[in-house]
Parts: sequence; structure tokens; C-alpha cells
Amino acid sequence: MSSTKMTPSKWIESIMLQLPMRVGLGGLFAYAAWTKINNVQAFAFSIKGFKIVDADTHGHLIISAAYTMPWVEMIAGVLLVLGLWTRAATLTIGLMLIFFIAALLHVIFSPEVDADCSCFGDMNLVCDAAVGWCQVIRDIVMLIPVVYLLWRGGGILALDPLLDRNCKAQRATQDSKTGSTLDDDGIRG
Amino acid sequence: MKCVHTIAGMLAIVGLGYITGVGHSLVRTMPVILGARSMPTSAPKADPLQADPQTNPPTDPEQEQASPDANPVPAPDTDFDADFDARLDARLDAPVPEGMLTLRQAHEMWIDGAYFVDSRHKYEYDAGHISGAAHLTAETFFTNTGQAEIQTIPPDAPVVIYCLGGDECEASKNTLALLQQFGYTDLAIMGVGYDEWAAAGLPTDSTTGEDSP
Repeated sequence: MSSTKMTPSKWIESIMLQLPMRVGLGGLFAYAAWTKINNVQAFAFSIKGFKIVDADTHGHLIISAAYTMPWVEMIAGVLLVLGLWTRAATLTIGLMLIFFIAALLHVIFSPEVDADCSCFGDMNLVCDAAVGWCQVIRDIVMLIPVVYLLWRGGGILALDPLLDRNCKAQRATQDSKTGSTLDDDGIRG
Repeated sequence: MKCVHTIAGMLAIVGLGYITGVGHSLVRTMPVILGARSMPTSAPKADPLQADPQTNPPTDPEQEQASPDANPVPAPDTDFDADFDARLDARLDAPVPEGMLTLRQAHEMWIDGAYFVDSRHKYEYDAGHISGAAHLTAETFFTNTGQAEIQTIPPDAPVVIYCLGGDECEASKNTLALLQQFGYTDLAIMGVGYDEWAAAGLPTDSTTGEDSP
């Protein structure tokens, strides 16, 4: 269990690495989600264009995904920016990125499928609209902060340590009354 | 322990996203569609040039190139003109997927005053589009710009939609489905793409200021 002491190195790491990664990745996902939430219809067409499932027989799955995915992106993105549930939000975004990479590879290796990414609505971030290796590389690059944040957490400037301190303070008060103690993992000893 | 918390948190985020998505679908008034109620399968309007077999140019460009003597159209003045006309006819009558308009049929509808809708990306539209065509895609359909474009097209007017052409012209099919949802009935898709239209020397515009003659 890592200590929550505010050493200078932790401040530097938090300011130089964790905060930019959280705000950058979370903000990007929240923005991407916003463009999709504003136009669910276009996003549903985009999912259909990937031809992962047959639109005639499994259209309900496409429509369900068109409504759900942007909101999952939005919630995970906002939580990551705030530094709340950082690891859970990062894991969600990481799994979504892996799913996106798999979907992009499906289009790239299927000559009969010619789809547009529509990853950020009508805006093209770094890559063209048509699906290609550029989007795969972009998503792999986005996995770098995901791995780092899963490993190191949100940092001192996130809301997680604040909640942890409150929880620990509550536990300590409770323990002083009952006489039992909790270790760092919250296991009663 | 932390790992379990992370996975539990991830599942909570997905669940919350699903619930919010369901709520979003209930609030949204217009249903999400994945395709047109019915694709225009009826034969396009009769082509006056093709009505008379004596003056009907061959529809297969390979056939036309292989046997130019079979073309009953009166011989032009020069070989150059004959070659040019043959190539133009081949372009105009190039085969298209079933239910879609050939370039000749689309051009005739353009002359008759049909509305044209470009369903390609905005940057492609800006670089060049069929003269007078509006820009409408699934992405722009519900924006203020898209809604302003729709207001200019009467619901009972003939509308021709085009994109890059080919069997998989999903963008045109998507725009057609959305226009159907808005009550448009006389819809058709041009089977060839904008590039073919421009290559045939038919009228084009561009928002960068370079228009065709």
C-alpha cells in the first residue's frame, strides 16, 4: 500500500505527469462523448458502418451501444479529470481503447468494410476520418497514460486522496470507540 | 483488495453509463434508425435517350469500346469527336447498383430542377460539389446548418443524394433514411460518385471559389 505522505517528489510527479495525463485523457474522452451524445443518430450509423454485428438481425445491439457507450465515456472521462475513482475510470477507458483498437483492426483487415472512425464526431483529431493505421497508433499512444495511471493512481492533486483521508479519519474515530484497528487495506486486525 | 475495488468501480461506471443511456433514449423524441424504411427499388425515370432502341447508346462501356460500329448514333465529323462522345456516353451510362441512378439519369434530373444533396465529408464538399447541391450528412443533419439546408428543400420535391459512389455508399443511404424520417418521399441515390460527375465535365461548384464553366 502506497503512503499518502506529500513528499516533494510526489508533488512533482503529480503536477508534471498525473495531472496532465488525467486532464488530457479524461478531457479527450469527455469531449468525444459530448460529440456523440449530441448526435446519437450519427454515432449509430458509425457503429453500423463497422459491421461488427449485422444491422438487420442485431440492430438493437447497435442502438443500445449508441446510447450507452458515449455516457460511459463521459462518466469515466469526468471522473478521471476530477481524480475521483481514478483507477476504475482509467480501467474503463483502457478497456474501451482495447475494444476500439480491435474494432479498427476488424475494419482494416476486412476489405469489404469501408468505415469512418467518427471517434470525435465530425472532427478529425490527428487522423483522417477513414479508418486506418493512424487511428490504431493514436489509440495505442492513449494506452500509455492509461497504464501509468493504473500503476501510480491519480496523484496528490486528485480527489481520491482527499476521500481516503476522510474515510481513514472516520475509521479511526470508529476504531477508537470499538477498540479494533484497520490496516492500510481496510482489513480489520 | 485495491484490484477488487478498481474492477467494482469500473462495473459501476459501466452500469451508470447504461442507466443514463436508457434515460437518454427515453428523453429523445426522435427514434434512432439504422436504415431506410424502403430503398428506392423502382426503376428510375425513363431516359428519353434510351426510350428509342435506334438511338439508344450501349449501357456497357466495355461493349461500346469493343464494337463502336454497333453504335447507331450518326457518325460525328471527326474521329476525335467520335472518341470523345463515346467516352462521354460510357461515363454517362456506366453501370450502377440496382435501384440507383446512372450519371445520365442524375444529370437529367439536375436539368429538370431536382434538389441534390451531397453526403460526403464537409472538406470534400468544400473542395467541390455538384452545382447547387446542399451538404447534408448524418453528422450535420441535426445541427442548425443542417436544419437550415433541409428548410430549403420541399418535402415533395425530387431529391438526388450522392457520395463517393459504388455499392457501399453508406453515407447516401444514411442520409436517405434520415430524409425519409423527415417526410421526404421522392428520393433517389446517384450510383456513381461526385468524381465521375466532375470527370464528365458536368457543372460543379466549390466553396473555395473555383467553379466549373
